[in-house]
Amino acid sequence: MSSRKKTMLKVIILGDSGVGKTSLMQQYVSKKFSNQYKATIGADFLTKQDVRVDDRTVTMQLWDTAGQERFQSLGVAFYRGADCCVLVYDVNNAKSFEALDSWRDEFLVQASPRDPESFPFVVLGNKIDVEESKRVISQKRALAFCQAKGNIPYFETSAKEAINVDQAFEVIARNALIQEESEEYSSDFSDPINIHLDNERGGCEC
Amino acid sequence: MLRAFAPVPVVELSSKERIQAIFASRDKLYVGLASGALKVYSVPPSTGSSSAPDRGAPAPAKLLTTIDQFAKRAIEQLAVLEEARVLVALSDSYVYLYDLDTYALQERLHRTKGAFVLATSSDLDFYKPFVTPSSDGMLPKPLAADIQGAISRLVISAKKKLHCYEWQGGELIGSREIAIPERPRSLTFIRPDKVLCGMVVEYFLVDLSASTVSSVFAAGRPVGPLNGAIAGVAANIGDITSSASASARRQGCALAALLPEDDSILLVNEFSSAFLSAETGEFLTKKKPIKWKDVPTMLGYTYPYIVSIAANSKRLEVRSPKTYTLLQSINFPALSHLHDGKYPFIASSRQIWQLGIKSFEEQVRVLVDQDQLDEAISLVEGLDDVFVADRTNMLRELKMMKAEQLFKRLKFQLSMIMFSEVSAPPERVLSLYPAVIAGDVVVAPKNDDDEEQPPGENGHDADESQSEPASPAKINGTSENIAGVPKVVERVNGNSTNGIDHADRASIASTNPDVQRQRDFEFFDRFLRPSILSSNASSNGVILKNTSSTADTMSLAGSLANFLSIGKNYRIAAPSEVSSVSDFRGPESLDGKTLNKAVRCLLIYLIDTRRKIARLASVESGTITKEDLELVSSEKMTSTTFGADLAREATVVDTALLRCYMLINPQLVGPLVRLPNHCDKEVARQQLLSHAKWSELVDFYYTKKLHRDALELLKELGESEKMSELSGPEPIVQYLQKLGNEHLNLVFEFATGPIRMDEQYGIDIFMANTPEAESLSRTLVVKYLAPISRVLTIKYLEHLVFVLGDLSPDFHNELALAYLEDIKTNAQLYVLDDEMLQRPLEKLLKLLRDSKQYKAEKILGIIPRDSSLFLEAKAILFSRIGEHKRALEIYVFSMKDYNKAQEYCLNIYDTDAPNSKSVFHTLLELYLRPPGIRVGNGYTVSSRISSSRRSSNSSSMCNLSASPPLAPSAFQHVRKSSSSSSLSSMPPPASVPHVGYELPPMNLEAALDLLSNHGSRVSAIDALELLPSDIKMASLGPFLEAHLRATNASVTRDRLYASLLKTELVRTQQSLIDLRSKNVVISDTRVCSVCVKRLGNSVISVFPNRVVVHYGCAKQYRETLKQ
Repeated sequence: MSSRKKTMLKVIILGDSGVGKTSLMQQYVSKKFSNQYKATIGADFLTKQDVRVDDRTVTMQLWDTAGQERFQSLGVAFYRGADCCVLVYDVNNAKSFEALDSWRDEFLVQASPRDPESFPFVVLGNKIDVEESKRVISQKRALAFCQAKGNIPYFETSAKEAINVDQAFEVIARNALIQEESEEYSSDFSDPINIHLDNERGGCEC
Repeated sequence: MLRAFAPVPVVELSSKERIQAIFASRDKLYVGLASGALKVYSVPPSTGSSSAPDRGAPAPAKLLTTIDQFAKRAIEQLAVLEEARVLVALSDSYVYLYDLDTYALQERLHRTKGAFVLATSSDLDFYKPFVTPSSDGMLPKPLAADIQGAISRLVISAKKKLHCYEWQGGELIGSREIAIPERPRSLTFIRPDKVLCGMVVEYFLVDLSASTVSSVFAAGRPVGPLNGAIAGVAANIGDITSSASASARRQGCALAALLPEDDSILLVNEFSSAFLSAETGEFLTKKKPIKWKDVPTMLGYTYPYIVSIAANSKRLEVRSPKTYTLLQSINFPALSHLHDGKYPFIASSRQIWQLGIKSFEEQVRVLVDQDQLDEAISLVEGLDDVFVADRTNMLRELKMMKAEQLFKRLKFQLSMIMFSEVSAPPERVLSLYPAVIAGDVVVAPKNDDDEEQPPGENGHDADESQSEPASPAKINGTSENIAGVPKVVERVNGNSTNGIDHADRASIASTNPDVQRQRDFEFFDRFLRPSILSSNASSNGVILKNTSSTADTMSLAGSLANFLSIGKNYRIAAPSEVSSVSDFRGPESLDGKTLNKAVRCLLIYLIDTRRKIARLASVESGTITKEDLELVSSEKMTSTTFGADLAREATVVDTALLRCYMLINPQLVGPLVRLPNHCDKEVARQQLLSHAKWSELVDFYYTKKLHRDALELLKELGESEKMSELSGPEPIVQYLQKLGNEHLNLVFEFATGPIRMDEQYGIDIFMANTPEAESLSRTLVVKYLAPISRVLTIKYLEHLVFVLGDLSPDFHNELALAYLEDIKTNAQLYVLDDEMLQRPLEKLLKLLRDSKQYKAEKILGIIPRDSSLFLEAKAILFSRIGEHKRALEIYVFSMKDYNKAQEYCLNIYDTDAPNSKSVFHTLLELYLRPPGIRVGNGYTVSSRISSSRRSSNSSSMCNLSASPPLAPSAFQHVRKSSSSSSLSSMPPPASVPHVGYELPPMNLEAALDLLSNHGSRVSAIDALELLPSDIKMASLGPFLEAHLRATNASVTRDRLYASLLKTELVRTQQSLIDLRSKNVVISDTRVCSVCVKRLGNSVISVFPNRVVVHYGCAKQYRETLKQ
């Protein structure tokens, strides 16, 4: 809990295949974009060092996942300890938007956070650079969804044109940090008897 | 204490003799005596199996030969180079070479004067070092080529030199000397060409090929833990051992042994020890040193244990190379020799024992009995597959036992991670939990079910028994067991079909005391159960394949877990933990915080297992291929765990997950039931109901497609007094919106209630812009809605026709009819101008005009004949069926709307269609000869015309310029009669003459208006014929003028066309003349431009530039022109 401790935030990015999860991450971490599509296999992660969140400096570990079902095979360890979950869809693809709900459910079951209501999600509607006529999910509809799911922050982004990417990840980092801190607090508080045990085992939450 | 080795006394010498050196190679044991005599014994091969002692018949070595004068002095050390067929002996500070077959002295190596210790090695010793000793049949044999090319080496330390001799096959191929700083006390081959020399306090690594010597403690190396001990070394000198790969002759000096498990070298000096990498020579600082209780005096390695002799050479100690746990210690009279490696022997000065290793299955069983699960796991992990049958399953069972043990010590997380790692069967894990989590999962293992036995197993078993006629006793033993403990024996046999060494197993069974045997079987029963539960179809090969890939992925997953620092402190528990007191008193004793914690940890296992089952299921259902799974390669589960009854396991896991969430985190129940899940229906219902989780229950029903249950629940909730999130009809409507056509009946059944409350719900259900709403059968929906609400029916039909653009005639007809009905109903309630009447009327007309789909005849038949509301509608319908005249009659007589009539004609008029070409004429006819007049009887047409003309004349005379046609009273009057006349094709003949003034009057004014606007579209002759003869010319002016203009225009156009054609003709003629006027003169002297010959009378070609050439030369000239 001391601010001196190097804080590592674990962020998981979920969404249908081809919505641009990898691209968003690449854009944020290395300011690069590639037009070529390459399916992610299993999971991959990138680390963004020295992210400023207010007066804190944190490191973000961004976990990119395979959207294609055949590549999805992530163990429990993958989800556990996540501080924030980013749900991505393609504003030009209705199916990817409709799948957000089950991605969210899937995450909640897999990660089983202590307090599911307050666990931070962020929704990103990607590919807004594509011409307006192809767009099928309006901002209004997306906002309504986010509202219904407990005021999830929503951003419309373009990994290609680097629109809103930094802003979105700033919120992701901030919310992840809040989550991380509350988790530390709650695990110490709710289970005072076992502090010693926990320490012995390197701070597991059980 | 484990009995890993069972020492069997094989040689006992008389009291006069003293053993000075031993060496074992293959089936022979060479013993050198203090007197210089050599004894050679034949010993049964140390098979690594349960071996002699267990059979109760110690097999003493057979003395093959004794050579009394083998050496002049005491034989200090012996060694054999099998490939070179050389027996090496160190005696009298020299090294002698003997023929291995005749024991004849070949050579005394003179240069080895002062020889102190020797060691031998062959390349073959390092041939797959991890799989050295075994029952002979299972060893991977070196290839013949390997044997041919293998080099055998002999190193001898003599003073400060190291002598090295090399043989290839039987040939001595070279020798060299390497100077070293000190006289080595022990020599250990760590590679075929590398020797580790132990000095008093130091170690040197000698590379025989490169002739380099380097100190292990050389500067720059990390300071080893041995350093502290170096100063205080006391060099007690005594006799010491020899071996195939290591030899040391002075007690207390630095000992060393190569541990092939991790390719490290164990260095021991007094109480201290350290590990060195055999590859790099670096210290392995990560490996903790062994804590010795007594100073080891001899050290060796016999797969898979470290063996040492300690406590003043009176105790043999056996340790695990991984955990260092002292597994076995056997006390002896003072031991002086340890021969390790493949053929382990120990010897005192008069006695020799063969160290027969017990079967690994038995060792594991003993460890399990002693609750040393960590040791058992470590042992099995280190073993090669060839030594234990079904090693993977055995390891898995051990880990599950370990996990259970951890659980009982309340180390839930470690326990669950371990269960998860080996993909333990969910029933087994859940049986640790109280019923609130485990539910009715069978706690007792299912082992009383004979039908689970794979078919054909018994027959197979019989075959195997018969295939071993050499050991009838064993078979008998097994048979007894079959009689006594049938289930258990089946397990054992099941195991044997998986490739176990049947004889070994049977021998254990038949020789052990009853109690032990029973335990034995219990153990095998346990660790074999999973595979038997599930392997009914899978062949042996498949299982092996799966399990091996499992092992790989396990480690991958393990490293991932490490990386994510989830299980970073997870390791095989240290032995000290083993003795900790368990305070676990059965599943039901868990409660409060402890239970909470246990359940939270159970999630780790359940979620992981759930994921694995989902992956397997997707392979089974074909959405993912096996290759894809391998591509991801993090599937650590085998079909041996879940394969047989995937669906059942999935139910167990998901149901348990639901219970867990209910207990510790009810908010997660929602996500779980919304996802595809296998929760048991009854349990879920019960759980959710008892916690009043209504919406979750509805979601669950939806996921499970139990729509009727869901809707009935919603209905009940919606009607109940209690206010909740599910009160009122909205939830039902929202639910119905998610149902497609296959649940149409349910939709109809449950939609009625809400629709009766508010028709808007009907719109929400049937007209939503969702794939579900659009999938509903339209015909059936219309049928359903019709009796419920006309408004809704109309809205739905409008939605179909106008929004969705449905083109099926039925809906258009239905809609038109619905409008009609609506108008008819409203006509009785509202006055004509009322919005409620006008709006549907407009809609009807719009539909009739715009739609091309409806059947006009059908609607005409239904429209009430006597209603004035539908006049225009009828006109449109007549028009649609091509009855223009009747349509116009309505406009002219019933509606008196001449503009509309004209407009109608304009819309219809088409010169190319015969039916609509004459439409203006028809209208004119209606104006001038109203139908009633033409069919009059008794009156001549002309007199009727003149009479009516007279009357109308007067009105037209005065009104012509002043006002529109008729006064309102007259309008009313006329309309009444005309409507009746237009509907009946025949006016009542009798009344006509008497009420002649009531007949539709000739409408000259409208006719003239028509003629003046559209005169050109009517034939003038026809028009004039129709017009009354007393008409004023002036009134015809505009018509005639228009007509004349039109005619003139046509004449002028034709003239113009004719002139243009004439011009064209002239132009064509001109060009003909021009073409004809081109000529050339061919005189007698004119020559061809190409061949310069006279043209004469030949055929010629004339080119546009008037050049003349022969016809034959034309081609050539054309080409020159082109260039």
